[in-house]
Amino acid sequence: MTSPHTPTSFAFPSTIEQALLQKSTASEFLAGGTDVVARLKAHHPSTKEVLVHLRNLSGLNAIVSEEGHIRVGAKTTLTAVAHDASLLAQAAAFSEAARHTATPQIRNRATVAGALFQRPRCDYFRDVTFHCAKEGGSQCFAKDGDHSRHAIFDTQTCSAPHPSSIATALLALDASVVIATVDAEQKATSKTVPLDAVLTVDPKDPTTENALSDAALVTHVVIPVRNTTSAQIYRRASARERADWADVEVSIVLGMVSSVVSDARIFLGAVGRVPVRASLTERALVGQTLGTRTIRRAAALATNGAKPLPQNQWKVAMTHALVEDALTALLDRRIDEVTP
Amino acid sequence: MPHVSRRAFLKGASVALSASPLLGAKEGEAENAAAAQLAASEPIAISLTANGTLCHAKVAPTTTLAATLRESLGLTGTKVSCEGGACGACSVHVDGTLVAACLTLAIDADGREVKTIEGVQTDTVLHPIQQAFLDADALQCGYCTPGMVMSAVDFYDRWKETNQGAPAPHVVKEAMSGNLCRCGAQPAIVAAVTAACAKTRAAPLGETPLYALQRHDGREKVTGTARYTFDHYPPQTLHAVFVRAEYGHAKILDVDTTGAEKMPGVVGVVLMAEKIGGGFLTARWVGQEIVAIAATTLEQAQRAANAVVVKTEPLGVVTTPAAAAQDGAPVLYPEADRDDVRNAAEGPSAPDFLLPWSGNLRGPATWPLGQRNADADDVVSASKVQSRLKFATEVQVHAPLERHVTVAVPTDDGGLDVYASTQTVQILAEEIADILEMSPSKVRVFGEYVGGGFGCKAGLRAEHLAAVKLAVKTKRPVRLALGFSDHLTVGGNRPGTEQSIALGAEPNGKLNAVVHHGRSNCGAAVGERSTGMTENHYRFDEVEIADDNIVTNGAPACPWRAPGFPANAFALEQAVDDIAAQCGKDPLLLRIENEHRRRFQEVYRLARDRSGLSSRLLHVAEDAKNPEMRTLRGVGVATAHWFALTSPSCQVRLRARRDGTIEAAVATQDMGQGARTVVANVVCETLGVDAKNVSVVVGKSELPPAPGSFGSISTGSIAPAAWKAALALQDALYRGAARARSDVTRSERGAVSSRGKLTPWRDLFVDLEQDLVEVTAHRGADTDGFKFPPLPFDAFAEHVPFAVAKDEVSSAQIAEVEVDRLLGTIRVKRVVVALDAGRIASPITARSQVVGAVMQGISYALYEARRLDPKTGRNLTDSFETYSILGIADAPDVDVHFLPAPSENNPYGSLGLGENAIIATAAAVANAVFRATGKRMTTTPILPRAILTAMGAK
Repeated sequence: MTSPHTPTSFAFPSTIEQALLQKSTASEFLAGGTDVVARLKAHHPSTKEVLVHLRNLSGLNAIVSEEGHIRVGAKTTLTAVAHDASLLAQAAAFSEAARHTATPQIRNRATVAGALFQRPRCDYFRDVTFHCAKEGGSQCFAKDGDHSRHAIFDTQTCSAPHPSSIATALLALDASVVIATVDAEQKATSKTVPLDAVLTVDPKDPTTENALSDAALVTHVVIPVRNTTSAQIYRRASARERADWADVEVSIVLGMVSSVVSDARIFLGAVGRVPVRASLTERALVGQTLGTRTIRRAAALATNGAKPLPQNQWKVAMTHALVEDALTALLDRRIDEVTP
Repeated sequence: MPHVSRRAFLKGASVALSASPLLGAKEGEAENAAAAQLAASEPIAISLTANGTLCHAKVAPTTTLAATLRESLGLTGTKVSCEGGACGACSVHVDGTLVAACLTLAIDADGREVKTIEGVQTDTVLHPIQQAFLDADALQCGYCTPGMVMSAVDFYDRWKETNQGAPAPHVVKEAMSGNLCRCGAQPAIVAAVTAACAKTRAAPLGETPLYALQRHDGREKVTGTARYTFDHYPPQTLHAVFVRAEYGHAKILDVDTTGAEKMPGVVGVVLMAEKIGGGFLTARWVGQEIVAIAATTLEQAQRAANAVVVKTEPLGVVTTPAAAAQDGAPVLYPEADRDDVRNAAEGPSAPDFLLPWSGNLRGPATWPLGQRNADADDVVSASKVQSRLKFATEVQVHAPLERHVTVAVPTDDGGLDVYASTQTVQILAEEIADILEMSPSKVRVFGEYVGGGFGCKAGLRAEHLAAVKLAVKTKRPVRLALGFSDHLTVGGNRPGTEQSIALGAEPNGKLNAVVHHGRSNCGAAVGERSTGMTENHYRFDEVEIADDNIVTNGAPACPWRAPGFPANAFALEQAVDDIAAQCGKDPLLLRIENEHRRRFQEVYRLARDRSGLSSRLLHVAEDAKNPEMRTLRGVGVATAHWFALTSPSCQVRLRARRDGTIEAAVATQDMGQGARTVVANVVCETLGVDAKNVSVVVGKSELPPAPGSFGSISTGSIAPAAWKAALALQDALYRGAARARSDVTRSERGAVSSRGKLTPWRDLFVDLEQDLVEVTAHRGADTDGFKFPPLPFDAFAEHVPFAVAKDEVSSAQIAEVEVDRLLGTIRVKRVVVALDAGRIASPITARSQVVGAVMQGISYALYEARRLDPKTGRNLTDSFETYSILGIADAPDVDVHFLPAPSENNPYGSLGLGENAIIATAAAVANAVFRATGKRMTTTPILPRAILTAMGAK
């Protein structure tokens, strides 16, 4: 039998400094608990010795419109994100992605930062008996086993797809995260970093899931508000209508000048270890008027660079179909067009 | 980091907690303790307001709110099932927010207001949502119901604040999408929530006949007072766990429990993998039970399990039929071990001695028995219209929301009371008495509320065996509940199949011949057939059937609602649809013309006439022809038959009192299919009494005999017995009336005076000869005898042997689907069912049972696939996040039409319908997908990716 992994203590900091001082490689933050508690109950090897419970940290669950951006506290629940009027008006892809995540019960507890930085849902990673490459083991069991739902990009060392729907939306919205760390005097300092600089992995290092250091706390997400016309959408492909992990998901933000695409950010989810930017699709759209032919041509470029595994070739066609579906929806219904 | 004991890492630790107010515990104490670090092992005091009452508990910081509510505060109305936040059974409100209590730490409810199912009603007045669930019959087994009600109340409260009128179905479905129901009450749940929000009275789906009682145990289920086996925590109970095989195929060389036996709290250990005559069984599937350990707390039992040393020699693993059939594949059961193979009892095949083994392959069994009909294939080949197709269906797990659980309690007389989540109280009691060599009178089994079963809770299982052995050994109560991962891994499954089918027909649709070869993967078991339906469903001139089993390193299969038939129908009914399409013939007319049984023809016509879809039955890929059309619509048909099994020795006992109350008792089980309501409905209708005066006691082995709840045997057995008992009670009432009033004569509805005044039966109870009158009636034989009378001996149901009646239960289903050509998404819009089960003994629960079967059938067709790791045999789908079942947002409307004609053979006219209703659904859905896309879907589940592949998407 595998020996059980379980925390030895809980910490309840009431300031960001205290939280950061508790944080090390042997500890993990706990907020909504929808991932941490599930792993704790399963005695998953990823369960840390110390759980740093953030419930006493105040001021991290507000959605505030400020000059040029919307600031969302890291502890804001996905339910709040899904229903917030300013987000629905300015960052609808984010709200939609939140609304499609998990179930009402989970969204009521799950937080923005938790959803961004939750651990992967790979069947092998989650099974406590496999000591996989992600946990320092020597192999990716999915590659030799069942990888029918795994990643199609950058799978050299690990093929666990990134599990966060809101990550695709926030990346497409060019959001940043505010990261707090403590300096030598144990004072908290914070910096704002583009999310796409945080959600990156080393393709050769299967244990990496993002570029956050062990001693960092994400306190806010900052979403720029555009002062030009844009259109945005979040869409997913899944067998079931609700409460399912996406087969493939996509978030698209297009800058529009009259009916011509002026700029584009398109991020694919459930296909890579982190959301994958569909750069060629973006390039194929910029300077074009959206039309059926343009959309098809652009969608077919979305998986450029993908190297699907034997059992997940289907994700390539599904990705093309989903990008076509999302762009067509933008064309047909001018979905969520934001005019400042 | 100081080393701190791991004592409190499991919810079992909270068993030691007190539900009474703790000395010195103040509200908010955990909050104060928070400044410093808190050892995870040290229980801390919390206070929460549960349903308006301030409660105190001491909990480990890792304890969940669900465990605290249930085990510390005794609020067992909140159910736990998946433990991962995916099923919603544990939904409660914390400070007005709907949460999954299984993922909420108890310390996070400290100082907060918690509302559970027990706090939803006001005094005895049900909340409008509860009333609507009752009125719409929006439940079956009831295990998901408390969570459903909590989600619905949350939505109702928010809807009431901001909206008027009825919410749209998709709004309700989104709000309820965090709750899973395995029985399939989704359409009624949507109807109930919608009606409550609109402040209209909810009603059962479809037309309700004049005499139809509400679900007799519905109130207990919507209020959370129904007590399931999982809710039993007797005082001083020990908690038991298994040491299981972690790898799919290995020789067990040695099992050393000496270390474990010395661990703190350990009271008893029993070996589960011993081989008769010495040595150990080979481990052939992940999860196979090796040792069972009982300890004071669950956590101690777990830690002791970790200390058991199992020495093994790994063997090669094969998880698929293809891998198991390869030359040189590891052989699961070498000749010397063949006696170890378990029979999945999924379908009658041929006697074992007729079935040869070759490597991992057993069989084939041929039909007609022992023959191979070489002519059949020739006839197919010579036919003007032919269909030759190959199919594969995936393994489907049962996954009832109440996990397998047994609580064995030693009694003062040296016997055992066993609380079990079982479909077979009497069979289980006998099997336990047998194994323990106890007098049958000393073993009593209780299963009053059963949270779903669908076949996997029939008969003796390893959990029963371990619990009773440990209880006898330790002389203490022992509780053994499967964890959810184990529940989905070893809790039961429907075999996967590979089938090839060849049909020959005339251009007019007349079916000539069939060649059907089936192969079933029952895991490490045998005894399934995927061709049983083909034998009797059509009258072919020539038939060749061959069926074999292949053993693989997966957990053994066991009967799953209509064993073998849904997979069989998925192939056969698609082949027949292929013939119909080739002939350009209405697929229902084709079946009517090929049918010789009058009642079958009537049912098929009923489906066709009532569906409103008959004009679309001929369409094939109408929408798909137009490249501009993205949503492709299709209508598909499939039909089914099932046997009318019955137990002539079944008895129902009625105890009537002068106060007008009746207690009906029978040792059947109600897993949600409605057995209690069947009895109540029959008794109330026969005697004209009000349901509130009738109590129905079931789920106790000591009651008058009844069969296990499987095979659709129950209604055809208990309804006639209840009716005969009610008639016997009429006799007693009439005797009393005749004694009290000199000049009465008997009529159907009561006693009539010489002046013609009727005193109905319900008013005659006051005249009973004694305060308590007891009558017991046998079900007895069918009017015209049986097709196969009960055998004098029967291994499966010894003291209630069953017969096969002359009736057959038939049905047709019409599914309407929409397929998104681009994304491959399939949405079932509506399913129309016409079904002949004779007189419907309990119309409301029968309809729910049919709707539930359709939900399970859609789930089977579109979502369900157990996936094992091919190298180790580990279950990759051991949660509701990885094992997908139909959610409420995917649930279509279902119209159910019963053929209004009682059975001519059954004494009460009623037949069981549980199996029949699930058989045709997956095939009807697949046929509808074909009719939408022009592409034949030959594998389950039909995922969007399969559509994309079939449509040639790149």
